[in-house]
Amino acid sequence: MTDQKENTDWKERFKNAFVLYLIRNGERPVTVFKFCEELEVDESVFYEYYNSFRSVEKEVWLTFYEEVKHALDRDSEYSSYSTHEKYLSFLYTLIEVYKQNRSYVVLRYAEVDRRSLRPWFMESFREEFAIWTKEILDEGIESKEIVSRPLISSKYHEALWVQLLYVSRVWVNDESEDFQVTDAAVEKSSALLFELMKSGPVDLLIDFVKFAYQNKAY
Amino acid sequence: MKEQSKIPTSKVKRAAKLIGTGAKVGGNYVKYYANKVIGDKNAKDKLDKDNAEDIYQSLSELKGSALKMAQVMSMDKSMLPKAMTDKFAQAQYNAPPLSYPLVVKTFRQMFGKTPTELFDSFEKEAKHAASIGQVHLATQGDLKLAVKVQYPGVADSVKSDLKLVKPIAMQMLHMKEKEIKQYMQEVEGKLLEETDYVLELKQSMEVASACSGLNGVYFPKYYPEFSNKRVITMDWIEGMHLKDFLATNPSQEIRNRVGQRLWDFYDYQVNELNLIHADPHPGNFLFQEDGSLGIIDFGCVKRIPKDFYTVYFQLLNPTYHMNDDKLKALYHKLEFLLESDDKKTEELVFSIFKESMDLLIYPFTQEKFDFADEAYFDRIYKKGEELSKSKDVRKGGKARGSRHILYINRTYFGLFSILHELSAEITTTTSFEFE
Repeated sequence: MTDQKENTDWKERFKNAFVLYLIRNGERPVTVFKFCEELEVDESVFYEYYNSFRSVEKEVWLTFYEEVKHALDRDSEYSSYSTHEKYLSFLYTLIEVYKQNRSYVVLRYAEVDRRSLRPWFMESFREEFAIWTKEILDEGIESKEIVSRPLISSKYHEALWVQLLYVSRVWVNDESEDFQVTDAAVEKSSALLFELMKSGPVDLLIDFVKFAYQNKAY
Repeated sequence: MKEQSKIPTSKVKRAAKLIGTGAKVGGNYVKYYANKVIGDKNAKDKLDKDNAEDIYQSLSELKGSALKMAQVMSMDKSMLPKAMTDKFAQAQYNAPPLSYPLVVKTFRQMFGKTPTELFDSFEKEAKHAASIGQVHLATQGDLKLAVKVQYPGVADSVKSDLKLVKPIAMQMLHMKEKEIKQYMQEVEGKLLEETDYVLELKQSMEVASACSGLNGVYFPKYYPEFSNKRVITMDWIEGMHLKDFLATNPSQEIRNRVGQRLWDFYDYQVNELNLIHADPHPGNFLFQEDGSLGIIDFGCVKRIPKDFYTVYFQLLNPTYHMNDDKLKALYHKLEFLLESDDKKTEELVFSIFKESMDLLIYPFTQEKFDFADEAYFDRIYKKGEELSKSKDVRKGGKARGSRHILYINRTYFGLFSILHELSAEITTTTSFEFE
């Protein structure tokens, strides 16, 4: 039992110490050896949990995701939300988690290319996020909030991912009071996405074109 | 909340709309040169008229703060034609409703609690849109509360809207940037004040308590402990909006009574408090069947400086109207007439101002006035339309009149329109003390 506790402690300690080092120095420690020396621990302990600094950071971001999910699950109203509202809650909570770690997040985002859709440090985050979004999207389809379309609807979660990256970038560069610009960006971009995922004129258009084509009614 | 597809909402679209105007105005110049080439002597007049109409048309399709801006400015320069006031009645920052998660987030940020933790109950769906936010219904014990939540980033969007509209306003009023500046500042200041919920709470409580002695009008109680810069909480006030109230076919007696209360409320504010609730938007008044009147939304309060007050309201003084010289002296004091005017301009401006002023203050000069008077309002609208398209006015487009006039006139114009819709006949006395 004590062992177990110590394990998680070290895992946590490496992670926290690493982030702290990063935001203090603006760059990684030179080697794992040097990093562990400062923590007064043998580097083999580090390798028990992580195989590189990169894997530490992936873990950091995965923790962000878990914190958000945890906060959502604790909320008594959350389960009664629509898919759109669940998703919004996720983004707003994520921004709150970001705020606790602003220096780090800004630092990381500074080095990713604007067009990159797969920042390496968010790899584990993205995997978990994809599972979760597919889940709530399915709920949405079931409740008719979202329309299922051949070929496209299996890609909906990708769109949400791109939006999440967009919102994160807006937040990193947001200089408005209380990050109000980010709030507006979240509201408006989500409203647009969910409006597009709803049954609407596009479906009618496709339906009509299909009809016209199949029956040569043109 | 209804969507309005006709009126462009996003900034991009607004910008596109304004660019459209620019293009049209450009087109008018092409027509002008074409007419000049074929020797049309009236080409220049035609150009001015075409420009005025296009700019006017385009402004009437705008909304949001750009529209408010246009509304306030044009109300000073001339009165508005009827078609436009209809459009203005819908003037709102027509943002889509805030999602509930954002409301929750705002509450967490501001109170450290979710709405349902803070109140006994809180309705997820907003009841209606306020000018820059939305109103939710909540309960706390026996209290029924209206909780107003502001849209994020409103202050910034006001600023960017005003930047967009400035060149158009300059062209519309034929003013140079330097001259238009004082008006722009006045409007920008007021619009930004409206985004300041802390100030609004303070003003609301101040005016409500100062007016608590007035008969037949009532105000919500405000709750500072549930309010902050993004949220204002007040009592949920019962009552109908003007349109619904009129649909109940209130008797003439009730109409007169409620109209009189409205009139007295404004007269009291102006003369006793030296400030006015400067947003006489129909949505800010709630009518009850017995003719009592609930008043909300003190986001836009115009404070009237004492020295300006004593001069400006002399316009209502009947002795001045008998005497052109005295009136001219007053106009000079009010900067309607400027030292730099030559004789001809002075006469022209004087006659224009006198004509429209005589119209505007007419109800004040009567013991009793029947606001149902169609003919009177038609004359106002006609005058407004005439002035807005008149090249004389546009030519003389210098900055005339103090900035304080903008909101005072706008308020009275709004008041007149409501009284007109009510078809109320009321005693139009004012407690202003004439010299």
